[in-house]
Amino acid sequence: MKLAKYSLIVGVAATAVLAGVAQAKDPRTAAQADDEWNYLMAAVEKGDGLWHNGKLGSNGLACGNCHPDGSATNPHTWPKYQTNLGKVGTLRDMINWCITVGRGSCV
Amino acid sequence: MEKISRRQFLGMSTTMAAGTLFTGTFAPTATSFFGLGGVAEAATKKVSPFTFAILTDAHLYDIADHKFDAFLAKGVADINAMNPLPDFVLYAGDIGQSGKDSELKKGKSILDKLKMKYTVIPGEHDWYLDMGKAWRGYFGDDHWSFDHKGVHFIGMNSILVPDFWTMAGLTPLERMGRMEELECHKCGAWGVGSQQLEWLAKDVKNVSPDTPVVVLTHSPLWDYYPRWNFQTSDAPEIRSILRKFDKVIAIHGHVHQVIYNKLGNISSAGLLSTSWPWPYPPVELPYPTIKMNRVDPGNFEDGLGSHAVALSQDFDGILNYREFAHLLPDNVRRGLKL
Repeated sequence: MKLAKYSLIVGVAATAVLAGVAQAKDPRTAAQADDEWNYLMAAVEKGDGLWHNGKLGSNGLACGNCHPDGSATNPHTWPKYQTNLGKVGTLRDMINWCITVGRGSCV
Repeated sequence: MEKISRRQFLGMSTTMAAGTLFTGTFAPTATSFFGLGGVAEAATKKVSPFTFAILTDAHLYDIADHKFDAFLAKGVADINAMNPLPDFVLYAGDIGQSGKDSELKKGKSILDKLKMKYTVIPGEHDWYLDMGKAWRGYFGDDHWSFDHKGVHFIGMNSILVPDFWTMAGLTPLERMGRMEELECHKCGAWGVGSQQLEWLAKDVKNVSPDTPVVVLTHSPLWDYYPRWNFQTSDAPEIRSILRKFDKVIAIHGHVHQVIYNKLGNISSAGLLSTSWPWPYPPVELPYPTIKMNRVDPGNFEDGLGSHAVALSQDFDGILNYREFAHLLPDNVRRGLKL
């Protein structure tokens, strides 16, 4: 009796594991998965570079200089009226302003 | 109804908070309560009252006529115009942005226009291209002490990190690039290191406990926000060595903002830069807060400034943030009691 109960538990567990494996099967080929990962990481590296290397602006400053960890960017508060823009602007407007007119430029 | 600006409102609310703040500031801290820190207010040795000035964090670039050159020059001109002139000037690190010889040389040529003697400690931006070689050539020792009118001044290099570059195979330029990122997580926490701890212990060994002490480091001597290296990893050891003194005034750069804390016998204050201001850490922190207002991004001088510290006969210190624009709420503008 004890043995039967034990084999039932093992059977249920085995079925669950097999079902799980079937469900988690990656629909991509290994090569496709690699491709996706590599493109993603290249984009991450490019973004990290743009954020930190100062090449977006013209005076050496990078976004990361003033906004460590993206702080003080307040993305959730846009769109809003911003004094330096002189209008209701979007976050994109503000970023462009920083790069072309603000601290990221040679003004 | 009279219109009130957002900034005025912030100023008012911080003034109203000041009562709470000072109660909090001078109440016994956890350490002093347990007898680890707070030394009873003994009569310290008398100081012959004087003022000294401080500049920090110019972050100069190797670009001709960069606006940061003008901001540092403005700080120098401001100090030169003080009446009476301060006795000397301290510089709390980060003259350059990328540790280049040209940046440090430019910084020295601007600082040399100060009418009085100045003494410098390094920041991480000065250091990690050539491990301080150029910096030492221009400014000498990275840690020092001197006595002035009854006060013992100490400066230390607090930005030394364990080697993260050799194993990773980084070039000096890549190493510097990593260190330039405030949020660099691969660089690790910095401190003064064992050699300077030994030096400090020796330096203060024969200085009597009733001597007023001022200590200058690039980073704060307490765990403010370690994620941005707003800390010094061996600060507990430093505080322990300095605990014998009745009162220590600790001043630091690096944070580009108004910040104050009191730890037992140590009053600690942060400084404004002459480059760009940093926001306060984006998390709730339980520390006593004396804050500057949020910066106007349209005003490049907002959040920048020079500083003067006036020391009284009884070693009461007042730190004046000499802001270039109007960033400070009134309670901070009146001067920070150290």
